[in-house]
Amino acid sequence: MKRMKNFWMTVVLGTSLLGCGLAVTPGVTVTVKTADGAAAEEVAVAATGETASAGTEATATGSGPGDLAGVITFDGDVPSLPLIHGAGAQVRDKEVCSAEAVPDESLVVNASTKGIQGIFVYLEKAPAGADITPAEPVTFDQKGCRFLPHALLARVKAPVMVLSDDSVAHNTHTFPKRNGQFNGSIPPNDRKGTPVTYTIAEKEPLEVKCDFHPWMRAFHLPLDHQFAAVTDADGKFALAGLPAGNHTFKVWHERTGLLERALKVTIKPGADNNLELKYGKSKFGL
Amino acid sequence: MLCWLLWEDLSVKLGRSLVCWGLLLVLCAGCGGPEAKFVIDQGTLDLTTTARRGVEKALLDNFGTPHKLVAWQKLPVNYGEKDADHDAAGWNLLEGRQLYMRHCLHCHGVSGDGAGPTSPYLNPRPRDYRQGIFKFTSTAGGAKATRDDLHLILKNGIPGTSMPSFVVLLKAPEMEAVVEYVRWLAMRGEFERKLVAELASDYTKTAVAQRVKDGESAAEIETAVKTLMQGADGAPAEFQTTITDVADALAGDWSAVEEEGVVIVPKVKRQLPTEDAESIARGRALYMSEKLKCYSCHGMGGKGDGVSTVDYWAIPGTSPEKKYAERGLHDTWGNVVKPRNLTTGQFRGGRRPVDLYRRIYVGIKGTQMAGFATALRDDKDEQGNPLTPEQVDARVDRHIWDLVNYVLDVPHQKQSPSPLLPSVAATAGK
Repeated sequence: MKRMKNFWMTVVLGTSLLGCGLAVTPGVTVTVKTADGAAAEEVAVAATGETASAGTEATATGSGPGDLAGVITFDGDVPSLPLIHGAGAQVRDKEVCSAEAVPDESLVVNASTKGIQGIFVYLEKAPAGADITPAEPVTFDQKGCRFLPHALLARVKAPVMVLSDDSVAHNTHTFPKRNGQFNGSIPPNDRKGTPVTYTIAEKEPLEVKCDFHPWMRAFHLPLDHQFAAVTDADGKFALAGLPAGNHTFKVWHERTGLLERALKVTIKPGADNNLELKYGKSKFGL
Repeated sequence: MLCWLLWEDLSVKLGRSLVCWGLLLVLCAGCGGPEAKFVIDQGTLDLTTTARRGVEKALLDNFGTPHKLVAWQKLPVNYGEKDADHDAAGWNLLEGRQLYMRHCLHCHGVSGDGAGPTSPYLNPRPRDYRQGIFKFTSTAGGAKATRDDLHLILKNGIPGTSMPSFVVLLKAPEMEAVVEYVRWLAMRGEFERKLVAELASDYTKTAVAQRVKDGESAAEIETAVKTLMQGADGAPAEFQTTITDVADALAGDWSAVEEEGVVIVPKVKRQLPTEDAESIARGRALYMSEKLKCYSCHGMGGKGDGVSTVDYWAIPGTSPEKKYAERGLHDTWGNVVKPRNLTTGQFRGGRRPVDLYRRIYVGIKGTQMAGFATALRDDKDEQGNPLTPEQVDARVDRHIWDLVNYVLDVPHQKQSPSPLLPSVAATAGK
């Protein structure tokens, strides 16, 4: 009896062990899930590039478009960030890269007006019913081992032409979230340009670096519409031709990320639309 | 046999039936430990509970689990059609899954996160597929890897790493199945990361804490994320649109590289150094040129010890900048990446001249090795005469072939002799 029991047990054990060796683990299944037909059509439309993703919030209440003028200032004493390196510093390619001092551009505040430079103010999606201007190429230059400009707006499917005014090699390495990474070398003194093209609008600005020169960085924001601006040296920005009504803006700075994730602004027809924003040092990690 | 002996030995010592029941218990618990699961990415774990659940649900609905796979037809994966030999669709994915679980997961992990049980002991680390980036491709910058690129890696392995060749272990259709499964895992990982990227600025735990600190109401944020994920008042959830958009973009990216004309193929034939005596010297001049600066990473002597390898580099996406703790270049996965030591003659992405041509033309994805074709594009020749687009392309190819010839020659170059004490040197020849 006992012998019999052991025999069966061995059989059971044997088969179980065999089971482990099988190439196909039993019980694994595949379910086929169809792609939604309607969704497939949407891709085709997006791929032709004729439509911008339309926003839902903007509701035109008045008549005619409005222009928005704004200024973003620093609240408190203007901070002074140390230079990344001074003129003549012993850095890579110093004949070019430290011919002039390289400032820390992660926060640029105008000493007299307190305006903050390089802040992105934008609508994530084009307002419903707005006319989308044709996408134009933009230029992105390099001089003295700095990217110019430090904060750049671009349009989807129109190239960013990367130039170089330096006699040393650079490369442009992008770190987008929705698009594919670009990493291409840029020849010295290239005034013709190497195109970098974004195919999808990004949600927020993306970082751009040069792998030869560790301190070089900039930010690009590719969008599928024109309703975006970057603040100038006085912290000022202007947006023209917004449909009258309510809009939700994003305000983004590289040290903070989103300064405003949903800034509601009502645009009246005409030019009398103003916006003033103020941020203190705690917002910038100081 | 060994098992049987062990079994006999143990049985005698402990009493057969006790061992029997014990072993049965172990076996009932399953072969080889706990059930395989797809891990959740750290980015997903950083989201608030409601947002995280939305992402997890999207993954489960569209990709399933390692035991209940979902073949989502939106994605350009060859899942295997129903045909004379197969009574249901999806068999190729299943086949790939079974082979992957046997041959690949030890290093690359169940989820393709490069964190299998063996991975901590390997250098370089196994690839984490989940960014959708593979290093060695034949496609231009920013584009995905082709099936052929992955197939080549499976076939040849990656010299100098722990990635072996599977040419003996796997038959051709099996390799194809593994390639599809790896592509599928890469798309799954990218799908997760891209969904998280859409949510991260508003709904990570840190972002929500900051928003509350800035005066928003926690309850309102929660309502907003619930509406986003689940819809409200019968309206469909807006997150469904995000899922569709992300999947469409993924499908577009991964199918685009399979189209004709995407793969970079030289237009000019390589001249061997025996046919063109000056080629190596021209390649060396390009290697040392300001235009390419190959030496800044690979070193003057090609040992992979250029100045870039001693810098502390900033972590992309940090502001104010944070630096990596370790010196040297880091890849997009955050690992230290060493520029190839060219003197060994061992090349990760393949040693055929065309492999080296492509490394130089398109670069190595996810690393600082840029595509250098852009830098070699001159619209005038040395005498300043304008060139046609075809001539420009041909010049790029000739420059790259010169570089390839130089790189292939580096291992054969004479190294300077080791210094010896004069007394030893004097007797050396005797």
